[in-house]
Amino acid sequence: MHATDQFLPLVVKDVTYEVNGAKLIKSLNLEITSSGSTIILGHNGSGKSLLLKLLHGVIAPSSGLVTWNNNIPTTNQYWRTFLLQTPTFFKQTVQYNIEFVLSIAGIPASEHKTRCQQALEICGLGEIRHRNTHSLSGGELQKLSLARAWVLKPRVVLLDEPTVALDPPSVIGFEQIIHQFKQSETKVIMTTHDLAQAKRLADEVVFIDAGKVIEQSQAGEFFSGPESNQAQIFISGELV
Amino acid sequence: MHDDNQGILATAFQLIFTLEPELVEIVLLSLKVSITAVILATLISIPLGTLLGAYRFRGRDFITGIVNALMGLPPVVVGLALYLLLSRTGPLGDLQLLFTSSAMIIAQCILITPIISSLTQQTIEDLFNQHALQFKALGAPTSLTLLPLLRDARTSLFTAILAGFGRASAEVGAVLIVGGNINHLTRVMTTTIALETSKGNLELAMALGIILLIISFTITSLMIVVRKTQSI
Repeated sequence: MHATDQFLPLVVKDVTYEVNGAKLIKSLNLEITSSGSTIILGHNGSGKSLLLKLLHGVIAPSSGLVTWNNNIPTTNQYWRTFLLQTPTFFKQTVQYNIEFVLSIAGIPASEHKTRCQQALEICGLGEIRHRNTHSLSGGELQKLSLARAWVLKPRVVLLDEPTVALDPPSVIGFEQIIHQFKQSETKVIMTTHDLAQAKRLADEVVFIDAGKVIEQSQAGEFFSGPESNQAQIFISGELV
Repeated sequence: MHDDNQGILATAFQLIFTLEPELVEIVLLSLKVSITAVILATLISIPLGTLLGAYRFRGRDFITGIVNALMGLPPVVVGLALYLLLSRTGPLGDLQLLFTSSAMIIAQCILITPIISSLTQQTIEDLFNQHALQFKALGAPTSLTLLPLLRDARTSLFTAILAGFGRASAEVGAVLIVGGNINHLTRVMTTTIALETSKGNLELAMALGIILLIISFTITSLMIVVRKTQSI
């Protein structure tokens, strides 16, 4: 049995999300059952980030239902973490920011040191653990965001275009940590519009466009020949 | 400069450099009153401003409106209201605080609490809004975010407290009414300047004015240093 199986399937049933009468997510249906990584692809404004927020419970659907193994998500379920595209941190040390997450998750203080040490090492932040976050680079901040997730030992990690502002070496470093998550049987659900990255990381692809799921398939199938016209245009690199 | 004015200025500096006892007594009492008022106001304002900045609750806008309105309170009106409360026939007359330094502390505290509260609220609200989505994504209860937010905001809060001290030390109207400007008891820098100027004793008034200006410049300089520290 895979460690994430108890939290799956993830079911999104007829979900609509409206802001001021504008339907940004339209009767979206999706079922994720596999424990491998799921990459949500789509162009800018397709609704990827909103979908992730709905999956984590950061926002509630205007109608429809999101469930993880029949349970409605709330943000204080720490088996699941969500990395924002632009995470924010306290202007304090790297270590403080990681330990803060342990405190809010109610992890006993006796475990803080060991867990923090592990997260710092996995994410390559050991040497800068005492540095203030305001002196970190974009890549280091994203690694800190990952460390903040890792320290909770989540079974599912949701990532919203985490590498969008990073240079290629930082992206590679970041993806290595994502692989560590996968190896530790953590399900990765990540949005991106970077096709090369999607190919490197995806086991399964969900392609969304205009707030609707257009296609869901195994990564190999998707990249060798997507079924939908929109996905074909997207992976051929044309602007939609 | 006119010879008379030069003479006044020279005497004023002489009073300062020789640490003339009356001048020292007035300066020390002024500092004691203002510092005590600032400490009390800070103890009220930081929790109040934090509460208003970080939480959304029914009546919050109303309380915020009142706090903001009180920032512009006319000092003499505060002095008059406090005089009526503390006078022998007033509801708090039994406390016998009128014409004491305690009454002056209360008056200054009333005047600067809205200033520090409002600045604290704005600082915490801005910071909280910056982190709002992150806190939600992390499932962080607001109560657990307050201490780290206050730590992040410490330089801005210190600036707010300095602004309060500047306002308190420059106050004249309210402290004159509730303190009575009694020699050796409630005579502070601002009230002494008013009194001595009206009597034509300009040397002491000038010396106290110079000290007030030094305090004001020191506070302004401290604010600049604190802001620079924050932006590094």
